[in-house]
Amino acid sequence: MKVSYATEIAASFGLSEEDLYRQALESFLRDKKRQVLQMKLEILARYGAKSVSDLEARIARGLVAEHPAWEDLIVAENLSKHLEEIDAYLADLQGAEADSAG
Amino acid sequence: MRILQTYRALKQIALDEFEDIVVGAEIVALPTGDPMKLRLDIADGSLLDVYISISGRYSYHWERRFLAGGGIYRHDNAPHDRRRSAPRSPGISTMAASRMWWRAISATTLKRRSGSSSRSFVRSCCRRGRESSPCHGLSGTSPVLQLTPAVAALAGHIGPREWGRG
Repeated sequence: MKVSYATEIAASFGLSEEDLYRQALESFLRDKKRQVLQMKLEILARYGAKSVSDLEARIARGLVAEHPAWEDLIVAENLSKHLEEIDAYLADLQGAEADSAG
Repeated sequence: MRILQTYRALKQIALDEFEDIVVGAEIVALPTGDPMKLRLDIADGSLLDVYISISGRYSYHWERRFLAGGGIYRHDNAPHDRRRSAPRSPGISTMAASRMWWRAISATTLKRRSGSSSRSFVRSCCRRGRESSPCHGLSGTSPVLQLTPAVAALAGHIGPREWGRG
């Protein structure tokens, strides 16, 4: 994207380029968070589990078939970790926004 | 995404250090773009799926059902024993565990090719495996134990009782 294009968009919304950039990043991260969260919930719902640890308990008690539940649990755990990373980025962005407003 | 870096590193290890048996390696992604697993294309036409988590959970699934005399081979640290939670392997890094597993596949594949799958070879693998890694659970259907004692032994998770079934 050309820099002048970003300048034009920022001007048309009465924003600084920095604010436009921050809001764009925040939207991107929120969208990613939604997708990752939906994927994680979809995996857990296959086994009627509320969380990764709940799924692990169900596997341990033999309530669900170990395969592919164990592989799905591994994927869900990694998605949980990714959600934490996204939340940390969002918190940083919101902190930066508060700093610039203050 | 830290786990993506881990998968990338594993992929590179497979391609660089196991080029004699690994034809290709692909990180299979979820619709979100997050990595789901590492899939290795093995020279004999079989596939190995590797699942790794940040905390040390893992699952190796070697798919050989579509090959003559094939089967499914699994190694993981799922909580097979209902009295305890899933074991982690903090003493063994993901890279070391994967290398060990791939060495076992390499040894098995090469031995099969040479027509020598003697019990003495497998027994020596079993001894070495037990010396070098902790014991984890083995899962799967009977072909797992029937066809890959060497793999299981090198990965270090097969005990004397299971070995007898092989």
